[in-house]
Amino acid sequence: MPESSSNLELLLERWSRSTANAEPRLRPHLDELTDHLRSEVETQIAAGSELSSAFAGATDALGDPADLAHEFARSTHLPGRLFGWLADDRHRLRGDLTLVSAWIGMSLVWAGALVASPIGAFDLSVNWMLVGWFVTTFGPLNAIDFKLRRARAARAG
Amino acid sequence: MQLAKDLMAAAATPLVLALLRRGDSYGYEIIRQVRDLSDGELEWKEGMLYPLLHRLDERGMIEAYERVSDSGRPRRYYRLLPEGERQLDEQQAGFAAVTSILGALRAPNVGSSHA
Repeated sequence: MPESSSNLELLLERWSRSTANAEPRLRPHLDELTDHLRSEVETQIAAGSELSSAFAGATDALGDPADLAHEFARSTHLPGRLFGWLADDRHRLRGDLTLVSAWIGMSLVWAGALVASPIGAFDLSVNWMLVGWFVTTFGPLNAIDFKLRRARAARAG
Repeated sequence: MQLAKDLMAAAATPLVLALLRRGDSYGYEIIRQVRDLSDGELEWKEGMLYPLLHRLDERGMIEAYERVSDSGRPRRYYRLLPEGERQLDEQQAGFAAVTSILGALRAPNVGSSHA
């Protein structure tokens, strides 16, 4: 391996390590970003630049790791991770309807448990009440969280 | 000519999808292709492109996979998925409609209801 290549690999390794420490949210993307830096530095060196200035220019162009991590974080939201199709505009209505119907469905199940309990069909313990409360609350809260994040992303442009 | 930030943001997704329709590619190559195709007018920042690729991947429009590059190193490539094709067709139709309207409005007295 030529000396400039081994020096470049050393610089990339240092950059990757320091970026991972400074911004852990970037860790899943570091291989790709390092590959990008390598390509850019090699292009600049081929055009006549020195390794140190080419590397400095490439890392500067990549920007502040915190800003980059923020951009990645904006592109990933929890409901989208849980229900991939919810993140798609085409399926947004379907996702909302699913959540609302799940909420109504669980409410009906819970109401059924309340009605049926006197004849012993369900054990209406405090634990079951807590589970019912959690399940019937989680659906709409999830939908509200999804809407708020979408609105924030839309405002941020 | 420098594109306004809003226009650049609106064009980013269809441009990435259109480039991937021509063939699988990776981040650095996509930035280079956009610069070359626009004769240097469009300079995409890495901080914009990589999160966008991540977002399109999450939304099922493109798919990331690893492949050994010519240099022998593993590299993250992207390929267009059917959902991305559909989105691209929709967005191209939208841009074509806007371009058509703007073209009509540039012609004098066309589409005007005023005397």
